[in-house]
Amino acid sequence: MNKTILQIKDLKTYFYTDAGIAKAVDELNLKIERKETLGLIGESGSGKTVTALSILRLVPFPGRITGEILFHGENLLEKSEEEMRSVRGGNIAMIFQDPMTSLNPVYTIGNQISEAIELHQDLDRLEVNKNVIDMLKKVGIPDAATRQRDYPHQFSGGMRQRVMIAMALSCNPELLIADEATTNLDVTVQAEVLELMKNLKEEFGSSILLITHDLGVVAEMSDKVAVLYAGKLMEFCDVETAFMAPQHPYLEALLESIPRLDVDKERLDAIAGTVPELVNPPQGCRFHPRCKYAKEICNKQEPQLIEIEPGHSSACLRVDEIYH
Amino acid sequence: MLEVRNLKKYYQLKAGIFKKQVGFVHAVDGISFNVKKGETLGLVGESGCGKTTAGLTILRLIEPTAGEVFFEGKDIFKATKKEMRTFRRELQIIFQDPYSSLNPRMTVYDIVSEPLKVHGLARKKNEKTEKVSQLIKKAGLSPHEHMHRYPHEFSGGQRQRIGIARALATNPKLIIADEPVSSIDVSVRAQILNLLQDLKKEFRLTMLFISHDLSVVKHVCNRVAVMYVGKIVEIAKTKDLYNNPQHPYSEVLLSAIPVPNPKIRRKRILLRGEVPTPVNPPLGCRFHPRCSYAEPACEKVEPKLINIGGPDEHLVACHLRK
Repeated sequence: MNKTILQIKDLKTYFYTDAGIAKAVDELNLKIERKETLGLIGESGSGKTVTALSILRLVPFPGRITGEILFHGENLLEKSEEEMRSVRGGNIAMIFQDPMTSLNPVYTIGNQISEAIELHQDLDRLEVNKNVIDMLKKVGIPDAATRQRDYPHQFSGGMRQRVMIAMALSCNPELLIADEATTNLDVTVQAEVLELMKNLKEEFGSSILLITHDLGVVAEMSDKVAVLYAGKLMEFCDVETAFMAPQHPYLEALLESIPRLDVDKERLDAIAGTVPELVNPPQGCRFHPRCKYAKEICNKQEPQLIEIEPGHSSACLRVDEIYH
Repeated sequence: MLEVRNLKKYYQLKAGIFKKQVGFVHAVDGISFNVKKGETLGLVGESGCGKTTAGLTILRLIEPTAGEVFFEGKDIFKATKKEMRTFRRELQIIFQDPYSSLNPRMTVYDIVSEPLKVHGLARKKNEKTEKVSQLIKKAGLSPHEHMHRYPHEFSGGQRQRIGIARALATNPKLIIADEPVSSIDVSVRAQILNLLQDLKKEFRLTMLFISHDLSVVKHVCNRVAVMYVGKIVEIAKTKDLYNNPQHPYSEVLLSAIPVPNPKIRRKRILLRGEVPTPVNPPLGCRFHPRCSYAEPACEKVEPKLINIGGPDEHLVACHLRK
């Protein structure tokens, strides 16, 4: 049986703007296996949200997607709009960053969750309603039968995010995309939501694409890690390798630059410079202007993602010299 | 250097067509602490706990409801207009959002020179230009290249540098930094934190560092005060607080932070219930409805902040730590 549920091949999502072509995602190759959590790390503008939107084909104008996105071997980019609609929310569900704006304020919570269920499953109203209450209970909303009649503004941020998760999981998706799902939450609430996602993953057996810039969250939740920088995949490996023995200067630098609870440091090793713009990214390796190992070759030749050991790929021209 | 005594800020809550007053939001409800010369005190807590309100009230950017704030022995809240000008020069603030705290119609030069103008610190034009370019350089920007540009031309990190240059313009003694790095890209955050550290040393600044990010606070601060729903529940040296939190809330807060190390699987304390509203905070200890150690006394009597650390000053407001 094929274990890979999603495979992204040569994905290019370009935005054709007046200022030029913004290569938000450029030649991305990724794989997500069944029951696996893939952590997608990247800063603002690295293309992580665009990747998620590309998978669901929700990229706004003037964006254009090329490449292949194989979900169970079928290319989502070749599906009709109608077929896509049953994939979205049905097989692949997404939790958005901002629970305040992604719920409709004029419908009750119960209404919004049952809409998702009715669209994808053939059930009568009573069953739908039972499902809604079950889901709300599962995500830990007390007094679910009453609260489902409440409107989004009657919920706190953490509760709203739970509602989003309930909605996303209501059709038992095979892949859950969580785009900065806990970024706006307080740490104690974040802890609860992460715990919830872990439990639900066990229960439903879904795979998760976890998009975040918080390395702590990634370390805790993921099995594998993919690092994006300026639209390019820089490194791909399992979570322990990523944090213990990264083999790309960007991830290495990132890990050294963050203040952490578990390590004492007098001074942080800051990464020089700023995140590049996408319309005119640096020549050669996109990270080279900020890389402490950069040599002349780095601004001339664009590195390819190569497998340096089984299951560990890195896109650095000097990876052999630096890390071996 | 800065002493805050029983500071309170209540907002009126009005309802109905006649705007009848129906209650108060107890945003900051009687907090006391002091900041010693040269140290960085962290003020941490979750959203809505009153940490930003506390910062703004100390500077009198919003008027307090009650309490006293002494800066170098002088009461800020009783200051006359003229005295207030001096305070405003010596106390500065760096805001959270570098996008909305810079006027989009002013160039970097205008922004950084404005405090000089207001306080009459540089009267001649060339003196002003000289001072501004010095400040811009100190904040890590290039005067030649950046001085006459507008805020929209800069990235988040660079904007925060402009905000820092502006705060330093009056040569302040104390800076209140309200979440200075929370809206900045991860890879740039370290630059700004290092910059703050360097400038602190160079200008011998004292800092009140308001943040919700406990990893950042651990790195930057000498002492930390933890707030929960308008109250301070614990103040201690950074090391003591992180290694040995005494208040149940601090313990929960610290256990909730995800650590970027997949080998460390920490035991996490999950909280029951929701953060109470500051309109009707729980009686007694405000944390008691969610506290796993709560005893009957916690529901009735409000715990006072007491020192349990001897000379090292570890203050905690909990009935169970006596």
